[in-house]
Amino acid sequence: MKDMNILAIESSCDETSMAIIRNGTDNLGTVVLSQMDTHATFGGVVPEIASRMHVENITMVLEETLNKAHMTLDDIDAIAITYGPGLIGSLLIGLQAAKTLAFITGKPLIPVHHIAGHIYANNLVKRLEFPLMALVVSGGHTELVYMKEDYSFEKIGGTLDDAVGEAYDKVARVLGIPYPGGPNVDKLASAGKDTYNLPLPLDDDSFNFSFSGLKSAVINLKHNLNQKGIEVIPENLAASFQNRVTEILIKKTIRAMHKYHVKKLIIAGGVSANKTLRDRLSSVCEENGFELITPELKYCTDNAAMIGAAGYYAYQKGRIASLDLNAKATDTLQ
Amino acid sequence: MINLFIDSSYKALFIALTTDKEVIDEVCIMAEANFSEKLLPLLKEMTDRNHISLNNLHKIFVTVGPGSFTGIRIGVTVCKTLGFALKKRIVPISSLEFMATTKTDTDYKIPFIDARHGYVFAGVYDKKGINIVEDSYTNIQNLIDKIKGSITFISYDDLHLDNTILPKYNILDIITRHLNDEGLNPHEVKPNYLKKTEAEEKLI
Repeated sequence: MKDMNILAIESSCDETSMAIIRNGTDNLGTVVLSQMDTHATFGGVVPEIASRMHVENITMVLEETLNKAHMTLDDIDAIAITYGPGLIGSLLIGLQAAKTLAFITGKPLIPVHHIAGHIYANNLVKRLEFPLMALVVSGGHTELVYMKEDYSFEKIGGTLDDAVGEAYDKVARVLGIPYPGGPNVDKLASAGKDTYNLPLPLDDDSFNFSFSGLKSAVINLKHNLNQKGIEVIPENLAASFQNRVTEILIKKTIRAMHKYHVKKLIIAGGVSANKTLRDRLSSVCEENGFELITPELKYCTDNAAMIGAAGYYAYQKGRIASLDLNAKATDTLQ
Repeated sequence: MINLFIDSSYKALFIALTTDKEVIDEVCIMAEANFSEKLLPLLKEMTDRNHISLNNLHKIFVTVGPGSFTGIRIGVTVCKTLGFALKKRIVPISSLEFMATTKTDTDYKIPFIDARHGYVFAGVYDKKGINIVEDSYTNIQNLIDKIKGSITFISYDDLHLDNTILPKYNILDIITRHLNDEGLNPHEVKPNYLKKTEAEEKLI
């Protein structure tokens, strides 16, 4: 079969990224322009600023990506685009660029769900084998997804309120830790001990998650101790919080794997870079005889390489969009 | 020489193909929230209908604002991408200047866009549509005070000003006036919002 070079575009939040991926597995060139430093000034992503930066940088990212891959648009066989979910204003920039390129080149436009992209980040490490369970953990998502074959997604559980990364960011704010909260809380926790009595959130028979209660428990605990004039030890509070989060994520994931009779687990999304989560999942999987596949750290955060990988399999499933494709702030993975 | 013009900055989505002297084709739809969906299909239909190859484009004209932040970005992103891919230069146009191509009998025209909270995006233009007082984010009375003579307001919004009419675009006016503009490298084209984001304003 002829090689297929997919130009992928991702702009769902605060990274303007493009990549050229061959046959769903080979990364020929990826550019990720992060706006993190700008948003750090505001303590979080400001959607309007994110959109403004995307539009200013979009063609420069395109040029750099083509240069990196030593290609021109004539070498591209299809355009893959994150159509959602994400920040609508940000999504629209990548989407317009992708549609324009599909129009000019006459090549197929492949709509890719952002979470499918995160899952397929693992395909750039090792070709996915099915069936598998995917634990998707990021600033916007906490989901357990069962896959019986390529580009087939069955969501078996998700968060009922805050995403896990969101909970990290909020707890980071309570602890006075700078944005981005996740990596910083992880770092702080590694120097602390699990000494605080925090609840294990939504410890039930479902595969759903809930983190807003745990976040509130952290806020209340700090407040109550402060009232009593007792100083909180940030390292220990971070460690206690992180232990509860990883415990419930792992508990439900492993139970889901037993129930669905799968032996392969992949983790995806920004929080999959969390060292504690990786380490513990790795040992629990070993105990259970499961294989754990983790994405390279550079593919944990938003990037277009994963969209290009997912796009290849979406295309094989006949997922092709017309030029009236629109962005969607929310959309179910299917 | 074929020129492409796109305006998606506010309430109307306007696309035109012109030579230096004539309109080849133009389409104007009011679709507010659907510009993201409509722009590319309309553009493709227009080039197909007129058997125009994109490689034959000479220059790309695009309104860069002021207006709806999202709307501006849609047109600008499409034109930047076209410009980069086809190696064409882009001529940025004020969306208010485009509104000011509306024919009037008065001495002055003030095209404006309601920016809420008592503010507008507006500028003052003469009878021929030449800019007299620069576009800005302002109170409209400030602009009225700066000129002496009869005024027509041109807008989709109603601020209860006497003599307000809806825009009636004349694409050739804009193309003719800017035909010899050198234009920009697509990388350099930026929206002209005329207003900082709220987050930035609070930071100051």
